[in-house]
Amino acid sequence: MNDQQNFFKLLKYSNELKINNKYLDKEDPEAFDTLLKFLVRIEDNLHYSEKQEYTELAKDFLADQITADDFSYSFLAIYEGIGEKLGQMKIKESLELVNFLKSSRPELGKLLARIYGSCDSFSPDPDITMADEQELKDCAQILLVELQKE
Amino acid sequence: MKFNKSRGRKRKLFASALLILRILFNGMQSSSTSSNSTNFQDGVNSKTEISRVLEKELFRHQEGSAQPEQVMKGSQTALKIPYGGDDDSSQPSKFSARSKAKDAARKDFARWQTGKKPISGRSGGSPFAEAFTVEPKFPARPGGNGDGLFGRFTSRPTPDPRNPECAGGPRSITVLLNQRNSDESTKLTAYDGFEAKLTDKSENHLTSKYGHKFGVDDPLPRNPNQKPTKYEQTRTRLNNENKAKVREEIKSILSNTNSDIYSDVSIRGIQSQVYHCKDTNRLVGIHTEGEFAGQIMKAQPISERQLELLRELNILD
Repeated sequence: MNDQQNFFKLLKYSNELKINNKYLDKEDPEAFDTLLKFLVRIEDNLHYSEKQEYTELAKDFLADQITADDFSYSFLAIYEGIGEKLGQMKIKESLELVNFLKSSRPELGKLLARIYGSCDSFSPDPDITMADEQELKDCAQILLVELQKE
Repeated sequence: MKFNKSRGRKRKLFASALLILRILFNGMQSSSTSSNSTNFQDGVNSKTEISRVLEKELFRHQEGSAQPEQVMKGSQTALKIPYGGDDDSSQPSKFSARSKAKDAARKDFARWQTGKKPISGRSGGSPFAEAFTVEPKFPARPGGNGDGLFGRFTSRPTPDPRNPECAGGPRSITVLLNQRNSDESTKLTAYDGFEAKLTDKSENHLTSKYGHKFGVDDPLPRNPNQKPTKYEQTRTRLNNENKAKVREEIKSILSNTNSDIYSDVSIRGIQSQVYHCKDTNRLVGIHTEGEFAGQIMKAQPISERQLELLRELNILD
């Protein structure tokens, strides 16, 4: 069984379990880990497919065309938007998922998750903020470098 | 000679008149932002600028770790983002990343509060101002709240002792901030008995950032300066109703017996407990150490990558 067949088999199984209020990680932890690996790969590739959005956002922020607050909200919007897209594709068991099953860019995925954390922690309220503007600028700079890698 | 004498007298008179006028209007000049005060302002600004530069230099000198690090790994270059959790938390320092963040945010906050943009502008104003406008639960004056007879609370200028008739004059105005008690918090208990506090500040932060992900459909109007993009940012309006909805969703994650519990999770280097609801794919993160110990600091959807990092490495950034 190749990757594609295996992936769709596991995805279908997981969706069926959910309908019956059961969870793959409880029923078959090993299968869940395999499915998660596939999904992470797909998600990383989906993010990379939207590199233009991330690049423009980072450039605008580094050029001071948008505020740190705007950067944080916009980054979360792109990241979560892609997550939602993947969620819909999972429910529909969309065949389009195959296009993103190829080998991924794990470094980009990890970096994006890290930047998500920085954006989440940023607040204009000094009593609650855990990230400052400089941290977000560093994130934008590093993101640009990572996205420029082929 | 006679002509010169009268000319000199006229000059003296003119100079005296000017002096009197200057003394009379000095207060107004110094409090206004007219061109006459530009020189004074320039002086102040240059002093502030110098102290900022010095502060920046000193900071750079003392905290090299706050800059992005480049770590060489064989032929690869890995870039590391420094964050609040990276500094030595056992040694609280005013140069720590977190202190720096707080300081910068405090400056921004102060700048915003004294800024030129109207704070009260509901539409067309700064999205931040709109996102952080909170409705007072308890009126500062009887009848002064939004539901009261006299409408929303408005700040009243302090009367000028030198000119009591002119209370609204430009000499002295006390701005009373329309803020809710920041100590207010809600205690929530998870299904395993773990107790957490949801503070008002945290609730504002989470509602504004993730309200739309927690079933609240009340976004603030789009900032007119914002570029149209495929994935538009959403800031949920802060009001009691929206905050209550988010609070309920957080409660349901904590009380859902199907939620997975992750203990000893590192959230940006801070020990935390995380509850992941598999039905909704959302999580709640509670700090178990540090400044915000016992407080709910995260309530967000989770991506596949974040879930993998959480399961395998007990990390949530």
